Amino acid sequence: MGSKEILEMASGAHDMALAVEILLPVKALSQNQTSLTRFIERAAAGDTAAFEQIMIHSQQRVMAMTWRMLGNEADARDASQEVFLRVYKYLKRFKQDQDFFGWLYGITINVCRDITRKRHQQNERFTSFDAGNEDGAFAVPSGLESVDDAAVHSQQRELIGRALATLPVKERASIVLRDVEGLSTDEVARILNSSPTTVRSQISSARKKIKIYCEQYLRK
Amino acid sequence: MNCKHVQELLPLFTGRDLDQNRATLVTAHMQSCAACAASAREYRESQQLLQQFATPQFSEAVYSGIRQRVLREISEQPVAPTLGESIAGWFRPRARWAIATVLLLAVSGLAFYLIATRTNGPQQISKGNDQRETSSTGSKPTVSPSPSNRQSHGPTSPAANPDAGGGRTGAGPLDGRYQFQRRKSSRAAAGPGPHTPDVRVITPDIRVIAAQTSPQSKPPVAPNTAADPASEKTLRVDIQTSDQNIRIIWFTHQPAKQGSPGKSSKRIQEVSSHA
Repeated sequence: MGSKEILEMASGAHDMALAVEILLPVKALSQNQTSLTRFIERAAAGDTAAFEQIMIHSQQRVMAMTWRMLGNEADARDASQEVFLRVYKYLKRFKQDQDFFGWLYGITINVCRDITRKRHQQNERFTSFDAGNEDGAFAVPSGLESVDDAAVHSQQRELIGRALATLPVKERASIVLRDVEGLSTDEVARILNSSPTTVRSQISSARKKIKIYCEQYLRK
Repeated sequence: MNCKHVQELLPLFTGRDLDQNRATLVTAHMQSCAACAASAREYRESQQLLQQFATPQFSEAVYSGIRQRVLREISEQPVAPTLGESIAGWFRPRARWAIATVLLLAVSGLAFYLIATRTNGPQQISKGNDQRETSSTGSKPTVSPSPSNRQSHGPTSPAANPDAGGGRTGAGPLDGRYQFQRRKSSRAAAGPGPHTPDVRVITPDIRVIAAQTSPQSKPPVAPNTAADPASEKTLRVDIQTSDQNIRIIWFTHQPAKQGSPGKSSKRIQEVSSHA
């Protein structure tokens, strides 16, 4: 999604803020694209130092994605580790004209699906969302002024985590890629090997469920 | 557009995933419907929550721990050569020379074999043709029997075989190609039936070059003579070819001095075939 398109889509103040929030990472990405391409080439040839640079460039996206899909930090760390191992293994198959992060998202979704499937097979249930503050893994946002604000912040994060956990894996992946990562419907369909129509249907269903879950929590 | 329809479209509308036409209709409906407008507000709030709090912020320790574990596992993995690398290993300098040498030898050997077989092939074919021709050289020294002298004498007897000795029978341009003895056995064994005639069809101006007589030869009947006192001295040689329709009849005069019994004599007789 180009910066121009994002600005055109923004109509209100809130939307403008959202557009700006999304704009900056895109600009940063375009500046680093050349260096990332070079790192990919060298890492595909076996340069582990170059591969470490690739991990640094993409670790936030991967960790955030795995956390959103799996709901707790421990599983997210294991999943992120597996994602990077697969990236290293299949990096030689990556074509330079492909979208690297789209390819990375695809691997991440597959790893999360595998872990979720294994979890179901072992009859594990996602019962509580890990806010992540118990072991201090989560960094506290710098804009919060008081402990109460931090607590509210944590509760809201837990709320969203639980709402996401109620979704089937495919709907969860669709809405995270579309609403959180900001990818277009076509890009989401490509990553998930699905059609745009199916993706829209999954997104619509996921948004309804999240809205209903949030309403129920807020009414309590 | 009614409220039920709008409620179905609101999730896509608030996320800007609705096409322009339907988005316009939903917007127009919400301007007159407070309930649908309130639902749209709730959808936007949940999406804001999702976008705001679904982005965790982890400490650098978490990220560095992940990187270290990944790099350690990569270093511990055995470096298994891929198929391409294995094949590429065959083309290392030394292996490359060895493979090139082997290929060169193989190609050279194949080319030599092909050339050799092609060279020998025609020779073998020509040899086979020669043998066939020599075995049917009765066609060369052919006899054109006159109709009055045609008699059925059955298969040739060794005595009637002018070349019972096998091989060379005398001087002449076609000498040395008389091999009736050899062919006789094959003809005898072949039995009736279609066979390639060993003797060529009689053509004019072909001369009989060689003939062989034996003491056991039947007394020939002189051509065009029923009874001729001089015919007692004429030797007739009947040669039956493999083709039952072709028989060679030779007439020759007995020599003035007969050799010891059993000794064969050879004469050259010119026979002109009748047209």
